[in-house]
Amino acid sequence: MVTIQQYSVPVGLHESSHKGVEKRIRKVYNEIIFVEIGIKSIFCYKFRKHLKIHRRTSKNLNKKNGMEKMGDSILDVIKKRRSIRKYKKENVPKILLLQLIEAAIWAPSGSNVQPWYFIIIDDVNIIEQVNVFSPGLSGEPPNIILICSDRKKAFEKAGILGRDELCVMDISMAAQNIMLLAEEMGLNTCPVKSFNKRAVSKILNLPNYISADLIISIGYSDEITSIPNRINIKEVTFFNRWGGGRI
Amino acid sequence: MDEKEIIKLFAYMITSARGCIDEPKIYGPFRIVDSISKLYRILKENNLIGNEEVAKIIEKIEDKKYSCMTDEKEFIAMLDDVIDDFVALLNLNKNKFE
Repeated sequence: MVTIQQYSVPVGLHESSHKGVEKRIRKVYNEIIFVEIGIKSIFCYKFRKHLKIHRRTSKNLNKKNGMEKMGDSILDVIKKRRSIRKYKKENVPKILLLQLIEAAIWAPSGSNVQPWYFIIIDDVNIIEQVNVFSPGLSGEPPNIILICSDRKKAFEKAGILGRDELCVMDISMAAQNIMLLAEEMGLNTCPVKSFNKRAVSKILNLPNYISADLIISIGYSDEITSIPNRINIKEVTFFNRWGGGRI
Repeated sequence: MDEKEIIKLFAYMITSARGCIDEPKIYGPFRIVDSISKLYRILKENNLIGNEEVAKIIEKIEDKKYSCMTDEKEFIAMLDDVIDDFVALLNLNKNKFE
């Protein structure tokens, strides 16, 4: 059973005992939260079922990937994440997608500009259009998120550094938040930079000062991934100065 | 045949060509291989290709094509292997294809 503290959603628990969480959910997702208790119960049931199924699936895939000993610490989630390029034909519930954006907007931001915008795409026709001009987007994901940045705003607040560098760092950190929370939820992702910005901007009607920076595909994995090589920590870490204090 | 699928493939290929100017070198061979996969899928869906040997080769490509991002040697080995397969296929079936 997934607990309410982990996900900040009403996972079938009694309303009166988790009022704080209820309030927060209502604030963030007021267009989705069902006020009627009866309907809410259905929602809770569906959500509970979703989490149970997909955490189990995720666990099985991890077992196959040789990761069965992992627990749930942040480091474990970081290590479990894989770029997925084959998805099941199953939509991700809207509330989960919004949770991912909630994680994204809490990423650090240079000068606190928060230059980001997120376009959640769950319309199959639009995904298909974007897909044609995104050679890096693989595996027919049921959902994608386009992370954009407002370069004009970034320039006005943080100058050239803000526009050309901080923006990229900000959206990258937001993207990592999305991918880690997704992993924790039993979802799978892949960051995609190989897409034609010009074409995607036209398809999605982006204003000219908005830069389409990164696509994240989201869904449920339909592949078994291998553990990628990582350069050893000893080879990339120094203490105090370059080449100093090797581990 | 669904013309739209072919047009989508053209758009994919031209987008890939543009992307290859700025992207990592290894993405070039990958995009060509991926285009073959996409073209094969269209032909298969329209019953325009039914050769079992080709199906096996495509399966091999599908299995290893993403290794270009994690293990370049494995990707190159797959390409060499697939070339051997095509040589064998075209020689063994020389009369059939003439």
